[in-house]
Amino acid sequence: MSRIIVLIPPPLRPFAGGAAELAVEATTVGEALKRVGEERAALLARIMTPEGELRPYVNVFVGERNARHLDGLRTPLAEGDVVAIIPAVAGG
Amino acid sequence: MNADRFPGPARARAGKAPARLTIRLPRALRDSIVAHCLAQQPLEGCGLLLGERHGRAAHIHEALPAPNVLASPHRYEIAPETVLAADRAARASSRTLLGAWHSHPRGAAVPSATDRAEAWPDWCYLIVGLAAPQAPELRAWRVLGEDFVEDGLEIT
Repeated sequence: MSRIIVLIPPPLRPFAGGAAELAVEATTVGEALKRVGEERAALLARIMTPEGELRPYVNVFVGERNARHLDGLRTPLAEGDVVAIIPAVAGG
Repeated sequence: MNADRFPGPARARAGKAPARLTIRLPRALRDSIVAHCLAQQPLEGCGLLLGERHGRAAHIHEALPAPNVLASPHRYEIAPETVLAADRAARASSRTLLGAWHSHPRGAAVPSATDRAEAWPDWCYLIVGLAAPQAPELRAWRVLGEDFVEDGLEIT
């Protein structure tokens, strides 16, 4: 297990007890998100579908790289990695 | 409203009197937002807001223009890499990514159906209405419960 910092974006902080970041132990992006959501069901519901997929309106970066361009939720993490949850910003 | 994105808590607040914020926007930033949107005509212009929120007031300190990756007169989208960079800049300066701004090139400064479908709850959305480009209209909105409410906008 590696210690990972997960950055919570402002629109999702109300569902994370106001936290801007959370530390978890995980080996993949998916695992890190599930750990973050373990006691925060409303937060997890906004990040992942009930089927365990990343929601389309949410991007997750490992450092500078979008996990969608890596191995998605299976992207491996190393000790000290920073995972940023980034909301899609769009409209009309 | 995208029910997928607003399960539970957002709906639970519906029915309560909306707690409106006062958005404080320096005149120079207001002018730069409008100038950027006019320069993008007939496409939608957009950007991100950095600042601080204390109680019922939000203070905008930066209005970062961002490319509209859709280059559309009807829609806007900011690349996630741009949002990531803004979030990092905000964190590095002890500020918060408070929201976003965009224009309606031929419309009023009120949320569209697309805005409703894609908005995040309790985030600040400034809309520039350019139906009359010589008299741009700027209004502030935020999703509370199931719809947008208009916040107060104070140009400082």
